Amino acid sequence: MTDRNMRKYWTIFRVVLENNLMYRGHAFVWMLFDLLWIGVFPFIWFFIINAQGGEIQGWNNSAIIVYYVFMAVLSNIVLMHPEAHMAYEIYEGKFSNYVIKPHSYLLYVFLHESAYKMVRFLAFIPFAVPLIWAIQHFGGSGAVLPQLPFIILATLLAMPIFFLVAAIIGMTCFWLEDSYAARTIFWASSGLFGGQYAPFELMPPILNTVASALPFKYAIYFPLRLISQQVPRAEMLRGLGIQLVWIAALFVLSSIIWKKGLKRYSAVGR
Amino acid sequence: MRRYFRILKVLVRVSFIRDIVFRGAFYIDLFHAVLWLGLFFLVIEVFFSHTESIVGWTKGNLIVLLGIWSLLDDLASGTFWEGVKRIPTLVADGNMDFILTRPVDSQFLIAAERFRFSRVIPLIADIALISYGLSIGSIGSLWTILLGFPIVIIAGYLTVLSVFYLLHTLGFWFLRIDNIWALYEGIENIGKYPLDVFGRHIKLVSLTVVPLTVMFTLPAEALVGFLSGAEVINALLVSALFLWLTRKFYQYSVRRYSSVA
Repeated sequence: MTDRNMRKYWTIFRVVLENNLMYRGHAFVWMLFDLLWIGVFPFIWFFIINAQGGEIQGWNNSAIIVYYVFMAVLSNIVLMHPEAHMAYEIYEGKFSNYVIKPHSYLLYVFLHESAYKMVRFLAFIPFAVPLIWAIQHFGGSGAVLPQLPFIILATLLAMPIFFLVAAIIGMTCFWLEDSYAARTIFWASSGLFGGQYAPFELMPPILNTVASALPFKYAIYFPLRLISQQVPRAEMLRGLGIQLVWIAALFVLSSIIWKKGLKRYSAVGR
Repeated sequence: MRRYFRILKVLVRVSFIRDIVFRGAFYIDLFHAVLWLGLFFLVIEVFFSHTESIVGWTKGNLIVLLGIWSLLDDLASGTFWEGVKRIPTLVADGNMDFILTRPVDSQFLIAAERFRFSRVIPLIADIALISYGLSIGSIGSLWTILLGFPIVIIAGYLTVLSVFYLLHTLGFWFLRIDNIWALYEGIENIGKYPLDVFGRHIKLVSLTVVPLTVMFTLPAEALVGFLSGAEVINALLVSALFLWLTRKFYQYSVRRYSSVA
């Protein structure tokens, strides 16, 4: 990327960041939402796990609290949701402004979401303290520290997987007048097949089988599993490999959908 | 009062006509409600594949709680949700002026502006779910169901309305928080599980400050036989208090409001 291009994208990022810092209430609310909706699950699983003698399928209280705390971290920092914004811009015709500009729309959306995530991360920091206390109180995750390089890599690879799936969902608005149904299916599927309600070992095997054929498991569950439990090296490498395959496949799919969608796109009065 | 009833009839009729005209949105909304209900039901099945009860709530009891939660969510979505949700946007765009200058109580007008008839079918599904939960779990006495349940479900609905309205009235004070409904949903999502899992202190908070117990748990307790007389009185007091708080905060916010138009 040339110096001029880099300056261009840096300006986009900076302007969006400044805008989100100015109106930070929006980011603060979504940060709280991601904390609250998973807030009850650790407590329910504590009760169930204690009733079963302290462990179910390798999951004990310590692993469960780490799982859900880092799910909150993942939701607030890594997992991007450009689908609603994209769908709105395509539906309203505001998308025309981006088509005629000399920058990549998807990269613009990615920078937009990254800037937003940065503001959400800043809002999340005060809540990190009690969450770290909770992890230490329940036994911590010191056993998985040797896996740290893999955890970081898996988390970094999770970002483009989830972003590309969400962007593809946003692009369905090229064909659907209202993509709300598609987005609802996406949100429900990512929650269920991403392991947001429970680790897959605690769910019926059929769900794990279906989830293995979808990208959500490798965008959400896989990094969380690495951070919650000791995982054999072969499984870690296999998971990272599958993440790379999904990134490549989703990149190709999003490019195809983008080209086809652009041919269909029309906006009145813009 | 009769005047407000006539206005309400007109608004209901307009909403019905809009739902008939935009049938696509009707079916999408219906699909949305049914999909999430099915998902949450599946989550309960996952919990109970490992245990017989959670803090004294059996699977049947929890299904009743989910049904009540969904019933109140659908009632809220079908009545005041769409109208009240617009408050932050109305304030930010300056269109609140058009509401405030009308010769009708603006708080009523905002809440009654848009009804969603797409929520009627999910309501039937909720009642079916509650019936199923009662059939496989415990069921309260006839007196608790006939006397206690109507009181606590109305108190629950009014508390839902109050909490939702209170949060959205913050739109007068903070700009660009048109997603404040997400904060309500985050809090609301906790209410479909038994709050006893949090322990005594959080339970106390959920009876008062963030009245999730009043909103969702007490109506479910009335049906499954856990409700006490003290909890009925608590429900009445909390719902009355929150209604009063909502009204006062809204009026105070309007007095301090200066248009951006």
